[in-house]
Amino acid sequence: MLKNYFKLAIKVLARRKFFTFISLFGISFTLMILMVTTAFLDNELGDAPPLTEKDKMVLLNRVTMKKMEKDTIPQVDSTMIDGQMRYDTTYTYDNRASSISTSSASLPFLEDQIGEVDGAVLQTYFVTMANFDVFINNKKLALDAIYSDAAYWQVFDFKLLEGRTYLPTAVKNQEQVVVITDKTARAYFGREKEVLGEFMNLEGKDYEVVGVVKAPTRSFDDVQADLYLPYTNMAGNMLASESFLGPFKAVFLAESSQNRDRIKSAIKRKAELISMPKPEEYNQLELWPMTFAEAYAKGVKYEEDPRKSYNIVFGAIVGLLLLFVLLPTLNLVNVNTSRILERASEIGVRKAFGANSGNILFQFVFENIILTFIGGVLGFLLALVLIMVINDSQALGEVVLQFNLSVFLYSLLIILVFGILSGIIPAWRMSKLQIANALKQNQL
Amino acid sequence: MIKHIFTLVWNKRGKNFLLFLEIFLAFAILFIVFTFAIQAFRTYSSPLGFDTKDSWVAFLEWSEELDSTALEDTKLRLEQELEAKPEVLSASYLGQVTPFGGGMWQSVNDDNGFELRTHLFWSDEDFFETADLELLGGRFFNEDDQRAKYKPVIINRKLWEDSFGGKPILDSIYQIQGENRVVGVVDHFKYVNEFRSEEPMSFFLNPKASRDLPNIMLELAPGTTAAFQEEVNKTISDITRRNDFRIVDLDQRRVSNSRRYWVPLIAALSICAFLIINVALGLFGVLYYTISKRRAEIGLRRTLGATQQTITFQFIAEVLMVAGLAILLASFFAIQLPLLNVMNVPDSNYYLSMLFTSTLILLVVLLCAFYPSQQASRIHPAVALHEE
Repeated sequence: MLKNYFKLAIKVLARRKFFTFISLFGISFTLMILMVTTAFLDNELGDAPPLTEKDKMVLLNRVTMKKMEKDTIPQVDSTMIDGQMRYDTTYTYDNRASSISTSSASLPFLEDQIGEVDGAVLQTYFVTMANFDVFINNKKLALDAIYSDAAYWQVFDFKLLEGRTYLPTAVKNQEQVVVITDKTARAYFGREKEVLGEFMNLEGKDYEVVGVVKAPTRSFDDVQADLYLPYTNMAGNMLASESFLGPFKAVFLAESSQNRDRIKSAIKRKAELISMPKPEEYNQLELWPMTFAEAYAKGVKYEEDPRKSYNIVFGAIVGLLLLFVLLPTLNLVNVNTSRILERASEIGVRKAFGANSGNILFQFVFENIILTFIGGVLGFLLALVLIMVINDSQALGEVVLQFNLSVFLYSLLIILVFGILSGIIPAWRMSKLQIANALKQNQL
Repeated sequence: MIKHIFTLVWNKRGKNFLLFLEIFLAFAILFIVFTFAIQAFRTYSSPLGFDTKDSWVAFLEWSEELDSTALEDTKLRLEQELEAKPEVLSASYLGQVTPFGGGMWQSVNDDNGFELRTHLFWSDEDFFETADLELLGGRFFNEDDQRAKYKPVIINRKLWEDSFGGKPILDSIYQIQGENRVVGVVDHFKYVNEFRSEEPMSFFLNPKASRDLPNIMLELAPGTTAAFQEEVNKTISDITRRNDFRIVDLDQRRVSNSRRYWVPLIAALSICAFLIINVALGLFGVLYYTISKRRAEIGLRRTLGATQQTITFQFIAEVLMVAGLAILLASFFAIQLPLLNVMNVPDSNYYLSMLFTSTLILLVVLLCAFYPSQQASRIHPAVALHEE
């Protein structure tokens, strides 16, 4: 039975080449774009190393200090009455922030004020976005660095290619060691392997290379860098600071993803208890602990509350994708509806010989799935080419798109939905056709 | 005539509905994308107001241990030594806020009796020549300004027009971190990003030796290569005795800052291009098919004396009617955006985008309807009627 349907589908496709082309063009390009988009989202938000534990993480990268003051807030309303301007001033007496200061945290703040957090099995402090200019053979190499503690390597599971990462003792003793990425090894030493024990000169100090990790292929600030150093190697004034504000970020690792909220509320509770050192300057402390996805969304669209950023960004992504898929689907439905009219006589004959509406419906949806499947294969190939082109042109910076199994499975699902959706409406219409009408309409 | 076409379309509302929906949806998507694209391109093409070519900025750190005289000596010596190099045309010290540096300093206050919103920028007196800013009126800073009673300030045209209504402003005093006297107005200064519209600016003068001006900007002779950076690097580290600084090519920084705007923009526009082609192909196919299904009707009209042109016209008018109605409905929703001021986009961009989208869709529909309609009108009446 299916074999017959399959044969029939191929015959029909070959008969009307122009319509087949239209359908395949639409399907394959839509799927190509969807596959590249899912590959991008999977790469940025998926759980590939070094973010395998991303669902257990709570990030704390902003400390906001406010000075709240009781103040009279005047509001002047001007209205034109009888050609004359009248002013109506109202005063409200309320709290308002007269000055706001927001930044990442200082190390003493994280160690002494936050300290151990209830529900966290691991916590790490680190500094991102440090830069070094290094000159080799008259060429400048601008390297991004992350200064971190040793727990950083447990929270973020980088793929270690060679050597080891640094230990708590190395951080404590201010050892001049560095972990570099394979990309950096290639750029600095000209080779990816056997660079352990070599020295890198950064800001006039020699650092021993103790490990090589695979360069992360996503844009997330907390892991994206060219080299990683123990944070004790930073200038002293960056480490010891009176202020709550400084260059440090923190990540807390929960036992399981359900425990994240416990950490979040523990941090918020602590924020309420911390007394401000200079209440005349700032008298209110706000901390916004957030999940990985919220932090990512916040980097795209800034809102004070990370939850709001998350809703805006992911709402927009889902909405746009839906809108985007809807148009080609509608187009396909439109084409299919007019095309299927051609087959009215065939349906009439089949019905006259005893096929019921369900049989007819199934046949047409099946044909459509075959069509979308051919389009899917084409789209898959096109997507591979596009991903190669994007990676080659480095249009997305350090982001390297990869085609992996989960992306392929998503795509298969998309193909199926697409095929059923665009086939079912026209097929349903046709399956309702009256036999007599169908037979009368067309000469056989 | 229009009423007649409308009746024809209305009688087939079931069949035309999908077409209607498709055009409505196409309008919605194109409208959103074009609004952002027009906004982005308009901002991008607005003048920068300064020159980034052959310019470097060195982000320097100054030791806390230097006292003010030692700092002054070192900073002046560094500038002299750098300017002595034939490749360096001029040098000037900048504050923490630098062109395309990522940092911003904004201030909003009502100390002047009205709301004044401005970005703040600090530099020495040479910055305006180093960066080639264009003067609209007044003058740049000079040596005497350091001793003036009021702090001298230079503003840009945007602040002048936004807050002072474009009235004569030179020598006026306004308040922002103290009292300032306006000595000059510059034309443009779009310093945050090429895709971010120009902000109202206030430029403040600081002495070269000030700790508040840590960074140095260099204007280089055209054609200076990156290799020269190592020499500058060495000079800086010799004089400041520090290694934790970084030199950035301003032109490269400008381009790389813009990249994160170009990538989604180009992606969105290519997706739109694909959608248009897709819709056009689909439309063509559907119209070709449905119009050729109406042979009997064509034959009858031809026999009763209708010319080929009137037949072609009728089919095109029918399709345009459906498209027009869809566009009308979509425009009704689209126009709510500028009316309710939903997003921070100038109204004219919405209208431009609506115009652009409607024209494009009508054009595509017209193109797709033309060939099938003409093809159908060529049918010989005798043949058409015979078939029936």
